Amino acid sequence: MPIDTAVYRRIANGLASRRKYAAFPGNLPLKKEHDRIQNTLDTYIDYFRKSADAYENTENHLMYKSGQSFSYLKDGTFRFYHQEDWNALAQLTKKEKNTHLSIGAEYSLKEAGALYRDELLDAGIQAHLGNVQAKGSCELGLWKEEEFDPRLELSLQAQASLLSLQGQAKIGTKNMYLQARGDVDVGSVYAQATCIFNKEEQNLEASIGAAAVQGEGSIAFHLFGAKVTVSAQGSLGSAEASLTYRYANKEWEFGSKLGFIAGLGFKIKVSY
Amino acid sequence: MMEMVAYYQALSSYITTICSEVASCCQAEEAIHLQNGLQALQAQIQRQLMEVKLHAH
Repeated sequence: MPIDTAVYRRIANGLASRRKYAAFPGNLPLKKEHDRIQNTLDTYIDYFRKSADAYENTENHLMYKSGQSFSYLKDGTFRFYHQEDWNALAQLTKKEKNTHLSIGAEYSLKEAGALYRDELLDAGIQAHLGNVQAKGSCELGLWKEEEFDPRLELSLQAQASLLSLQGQAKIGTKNMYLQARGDVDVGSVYAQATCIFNKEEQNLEASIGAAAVQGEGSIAFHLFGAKVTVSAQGSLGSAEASLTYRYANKEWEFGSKLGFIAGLGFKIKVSY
Repeated sequence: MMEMVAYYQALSSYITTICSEVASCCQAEEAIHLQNGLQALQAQIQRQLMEVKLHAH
């Protein structure tokens, strides 16, 4: 079956444009659950983008017959995506619709991969050497119930790694198989920042970190319709620093974390 | 709170759209895997929507 990677990218952009920050002042459970939903959205955004990249990199391999292997080494490509919902007319007519912009780019110096497929095994590994990724989003609203009530939400993320590896394998028959997937970044530096500005709340969160090895993986067993998934993530030789400032509804919070291998941090919270 | 109610309703509706899209654009096994995950996400969004509605009143 031919894979339409444009649909994968459209879904990823659609999900990215629907991310939203929410503070839920004074209600921590709602805030935590909202953050979990946003993290799951991030997982799907990454999945659809990475799958589109992997299918495009390996589409030639689909022409290979069972039992053959395929490998490639090529110069890195520059990938750029953006999504814009200006809603200019709505803003001019005092409607509550927000302007949403999201943008992202990825570049690797070299890309390499190897794949193998037969009746029982379908395995592949992709490597990006000198990989740099950056993405950002901006949401701006000017009106609430026809009153001027500007709200700005900015989110920026960047990551650079010496080597980024993705691998997946499927071993078994149609009804009984093991599926494994793993992502490993070697020598990575990452930074992210979120800014929220509106009348009720000002929030700034920023963090920067580095890890010698950082990765996550999952293994799933499929036994006649039942599925068992084991997943893990971790880092080795890591350091991270983060800074948060938050003001909302007569409550401000300042926190910082500076850690090496195991993180240490503090938080001050004042309510009045 | 009402803004968030509208947000979760719109997000849930979009997840429904994606579920039908992956059925036509992905390979069968991947589509089933994605649909299961997206349905779990949608259930999570619906639970949050109910909680937010309760707090809104």
